[in-house]
Amino acid sequence: MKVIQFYKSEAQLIKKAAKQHRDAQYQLYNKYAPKMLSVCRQYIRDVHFAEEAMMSGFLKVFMNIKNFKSEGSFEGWIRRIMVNESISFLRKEKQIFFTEEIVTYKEESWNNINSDLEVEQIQELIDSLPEGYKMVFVLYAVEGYKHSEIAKMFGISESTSKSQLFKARKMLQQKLNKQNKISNGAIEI
Amino acid sequence: MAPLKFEEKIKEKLEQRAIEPSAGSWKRLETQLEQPYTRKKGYKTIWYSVAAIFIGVLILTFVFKSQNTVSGNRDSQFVDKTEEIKEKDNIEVVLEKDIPNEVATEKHQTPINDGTKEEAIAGSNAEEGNTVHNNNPISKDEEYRNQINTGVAEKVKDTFKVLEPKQEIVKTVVREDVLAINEIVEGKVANVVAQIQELKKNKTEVTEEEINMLLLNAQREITSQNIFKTNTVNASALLQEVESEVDETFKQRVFEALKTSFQKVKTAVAEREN
Repeated sequence: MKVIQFYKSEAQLIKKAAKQHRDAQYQLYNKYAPKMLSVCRQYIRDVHFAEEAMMSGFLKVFMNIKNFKSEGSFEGWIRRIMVNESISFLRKEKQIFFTEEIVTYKEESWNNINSDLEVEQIQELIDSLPEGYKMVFVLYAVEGYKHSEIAKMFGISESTSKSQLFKARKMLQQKLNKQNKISNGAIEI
Repeated sequence: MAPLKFEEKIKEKLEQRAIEPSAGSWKRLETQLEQPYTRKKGYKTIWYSVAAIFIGVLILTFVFKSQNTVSGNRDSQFVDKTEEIKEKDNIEVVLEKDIPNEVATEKHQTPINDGTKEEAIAGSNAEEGNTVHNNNPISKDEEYRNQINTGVAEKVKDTFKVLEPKQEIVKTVVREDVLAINEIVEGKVANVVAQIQELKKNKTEVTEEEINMLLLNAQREITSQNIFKTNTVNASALLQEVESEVDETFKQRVFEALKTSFQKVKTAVAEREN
């Protein structure tokens, strides 16, 4: 029977994990895996693929844990690794496109948009966005990256990143308005 | 609701979300965690060995190439030199050995024949002399002349014997320039013999010095013409020639100096006496 040792503090856990203690690694995995899978899921539509990206992310975490300097939060460090891993996964799949087409949107207010959306609904909305829009939107609005960082990450200009975000917002607004109308019973044909 | 507020709501909800990974995910990760170390080690050794092999191959190729270039240079130099040497040898062999063997032998027969003729003449002279001696007493001058005749013949033989083959001669292709040299030698031999004959006819006495001078001149002319014909300069021959020329001029100068000093002394003595 395997006896799992429990470490009191996260710092201790990290130290042990750096020494390739499986127990410590397992505890860290158990602690952060659900959150990190959620992060990966934000970018990758398929949960299985998202899990794959998460697994390779954790592999990198445990391989490079000795390089982690306790300056920032450990969670933040893992999160960044997961984001990078998800993006590289999508890059491998060649799913990221940054369309430069000019789309005209109707000016609609955010006032009548239902903010009490379920997480699944939000995820659905995000998934419905084109990959380029989705990436920039999630990175900027959810992860808190700057446009300069996003531009550097994808090798695009800052203005492209900004335009992608603008288009993503507009698209989301349209979709949310549509949902609201459906839920209110006023279906447009 | 402003877009930023909406995004904040999204962020909140997404951050609160947790998706449980599949049951065997940790096991898979564990196996993956085990593998990289063995893989890493394996990869390391493989990479090191590959790098070592690569470096080894590079060094070997470098060494091999450098050796090739050196040997190639050597070979080319060797080949070139051998060819040059062969050419030189051909010329030299022809000059020293082939001439008498292949071409000069025939042509050489003329002086030898002449020599034998001379000898025969000398012999007949001697016989005549003997017969005369039996009948009349021969003067010392005639004896001396006979001796000179025989001496001339011997000298001619000796000088051109140098050109006769001493060892087994390598069969080489006789070139046109070599033939020309042979012709020159032949002509010179004939010329020398004719000059001696003329001297004999004109003068009662032909001194050994005169014969030596004739032969020396003939040799010089032959060597100089050889140089012009073959376009190859024999350094030693050239040096010898120059030395002889220098000697002559030096002698002349010494004689001139002696002459002028003698004249000065003579005039001084004459003036003092006056």
